[in-house]
Amino acid sequence: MTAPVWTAFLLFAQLLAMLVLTVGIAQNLLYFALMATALWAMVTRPPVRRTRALWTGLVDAAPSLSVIVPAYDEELTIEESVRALLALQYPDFEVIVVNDGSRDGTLERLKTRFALEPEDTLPAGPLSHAPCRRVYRSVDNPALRVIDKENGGKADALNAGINLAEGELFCAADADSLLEADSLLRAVQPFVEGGEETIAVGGTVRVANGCPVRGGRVVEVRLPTRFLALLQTVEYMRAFTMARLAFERLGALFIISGAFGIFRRQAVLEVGGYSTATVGEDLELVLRLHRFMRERGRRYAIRFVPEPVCWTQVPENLAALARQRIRWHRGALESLAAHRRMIGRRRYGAPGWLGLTALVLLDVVAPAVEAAGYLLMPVFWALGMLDTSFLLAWLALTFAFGVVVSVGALVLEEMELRRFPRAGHLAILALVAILENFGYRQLANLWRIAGHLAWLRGMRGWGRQPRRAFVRA
Amino acid sequence: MIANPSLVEAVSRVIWQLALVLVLIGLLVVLVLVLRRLLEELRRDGLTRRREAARRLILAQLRRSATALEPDTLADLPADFLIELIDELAQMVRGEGRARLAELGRRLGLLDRLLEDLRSWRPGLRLEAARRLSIYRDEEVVPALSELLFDRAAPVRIAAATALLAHRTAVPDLLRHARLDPALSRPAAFPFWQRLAELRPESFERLFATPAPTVRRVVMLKAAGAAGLTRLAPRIAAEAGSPDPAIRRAATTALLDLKHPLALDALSRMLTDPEPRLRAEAVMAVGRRKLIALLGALRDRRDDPDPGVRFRAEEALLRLGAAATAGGTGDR
Repeated sequence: MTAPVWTAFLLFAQLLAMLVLTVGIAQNLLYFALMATALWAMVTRPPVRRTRALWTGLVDAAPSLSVIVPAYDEELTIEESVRALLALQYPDFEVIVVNDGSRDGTLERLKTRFALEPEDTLPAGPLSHAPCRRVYRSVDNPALRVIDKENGGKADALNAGINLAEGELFCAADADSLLEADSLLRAVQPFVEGGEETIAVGGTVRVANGCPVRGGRVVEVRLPTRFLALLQTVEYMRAFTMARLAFERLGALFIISGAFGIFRRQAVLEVGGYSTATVGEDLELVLRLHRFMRERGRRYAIRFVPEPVCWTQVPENLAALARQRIRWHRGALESLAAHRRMIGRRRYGAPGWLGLTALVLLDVVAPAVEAAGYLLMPVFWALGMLDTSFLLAWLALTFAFGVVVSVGALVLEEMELRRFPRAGHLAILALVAILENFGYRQLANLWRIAGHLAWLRGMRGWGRQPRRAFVRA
Repeated sequence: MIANPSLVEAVSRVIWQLALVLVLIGLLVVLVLVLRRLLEELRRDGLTRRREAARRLILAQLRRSATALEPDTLADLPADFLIELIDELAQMVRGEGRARLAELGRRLGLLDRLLEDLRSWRPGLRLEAARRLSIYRDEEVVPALSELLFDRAAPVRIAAATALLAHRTAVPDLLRHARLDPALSRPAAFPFWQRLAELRPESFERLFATPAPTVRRVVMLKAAGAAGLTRLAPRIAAEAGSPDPAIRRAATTALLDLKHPLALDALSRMLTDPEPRLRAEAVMAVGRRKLIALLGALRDRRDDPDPGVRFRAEEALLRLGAAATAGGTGDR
């Protein structure tokens, strides 16, 4: 290789190495800041009230609420999910299941198990959605209504549910997820305390794989038996116990999980409901709420409470997980693109300059730069273009700090929430928190890049999602 | 090299050395937590048995007679554990039983511990201590809780104010404070206002007669309804004509909660309220409570200019359908 070419190559290698290192430092500094903020939020928050005390305090003050459950091919789990929802502890609520054109026996099962009878009304609110065929009400439990509509996707089904809802608040829940009995009470607390200004509240989503379920409730917290699900347990813990809590404390919460979130119906109606143009409708709605409120100079609050827990089944094979992650990332990019003018702008407050900047760094820039690092840093070092200390620093940023962040999330969980009952669980999760940095983290990055490519190609839709029944106790 | 090589090397060295130290610290912390959990697991079975035994013992003594509860067999149990147990039992009993539980707590030294917790740096501990102190009528409790009325955490101020309501001597100062503290004007202060309405209805009425910001007015109206302060119904009905929609709504809800005849007039007015949201809520309330007396006014809402109200009116009429044909009168 001639000298000028070699010099140019050397310069390129050094520039890239500096970029990888800078992004790695920025990423880890952000994680540490989030961890410290989450710790501060945990130790300074009011104590968690017992369910009975919560009920006494909220029974007269809790606003009416509609739980909206979009269901598409949920025959396996729908009965158990609906029974569990109807048994939730809340003073004044209804359950609206939206059968989104299921091809299996979802509607039939609902009809036979809950004695549904057709009503003469159809959802008539201002949100648009695919045509509805019929609305049913349960004879056994009038708090249950079912909308049977043509398929239009999750966002479309939620919009139909919002139109029919009677509650001042609505809770968007997944049909294949299980809410803890007091989760509505816990999640509604900020609405009662914050009054009209509180427009949305999110709760924690946890991995139900391996946990025995009876009557639609997780009766014992256990760890998944599959390694892939274990890895996701640590991942969910990091995302909810650490990141969401920290962003909420900083006033920059930009997402409420689609599996469990409570919204003020009027606020969502004002912004036009869920967007059907993205598969990341949960993120997009929260961004739109922020944008709408900020642009009109209104006072508002979007909150996160760690205690209300929603249990969900996570994929246990790589193909299903890859599909899910690619879809999530595509949804995030679609939402970011739709609200790109919010990114880094002080006009949009902490969600804009902090929340979305962090999202861009962690979900858009870092995966690509990190992947470039995996491919090129060892090569550059082998060719003598980088010092060993530089390579060690990169390895430390990528692997060692990753271990510290995962272990930190576990420590936070153990210090304040303690949802895993046995010492053995903690030991296994600590081991998984270390191991996830060697292989799984790289795979997750790869899926993010694939999601990026899918977005660039303009891919649409949700793809196939296999359903599994819960483990019975 | 594009940057100073020695600087780059120094930074790199700091990064990987720091990473190693942090990993070691992290693993050490996890190890300590796992070991702590293991020890807890070993102790847990014994503690659960002792807790159940203590609970049974206290309950048996509470049932028996008016004699003081005996602390001797409980003294060796951890204080946190006893504080929680007494708090749990205090939620189940009233009057004399609570006083005896407080006496037991005092003899076990739990009162001192709770007073100490009021000075904790953790707002959670201060809040719990304030709440749990509501069963103790001791003199030293009042100044300690009064100090907390100026706590930097609003939920702690609310808990302290609610606990102080049990102390008659503290009420006059507390009511002056309630007018000034914005925390007590928040929806979260509902338990304070409800308890005030239940325990000191005259004081509540006096405060109700004074002007208040909208949010506090709304909370007070809800509290009056929840506490069943029927004698306030005429004044609440007057509020149902307020220019503020939030107050109109809260006043009508309070009258409905009181099951007072004036609720029908208020709800009837709300059915023609200028705010579509309030009209929709009124229509839903008529349907949900099956108020046949308002059937005519409800039918009129089928021609409401707002589509949401029209939809709710149809729904409410459907709900009323069975009751109307059966000639039922609903819950009125």
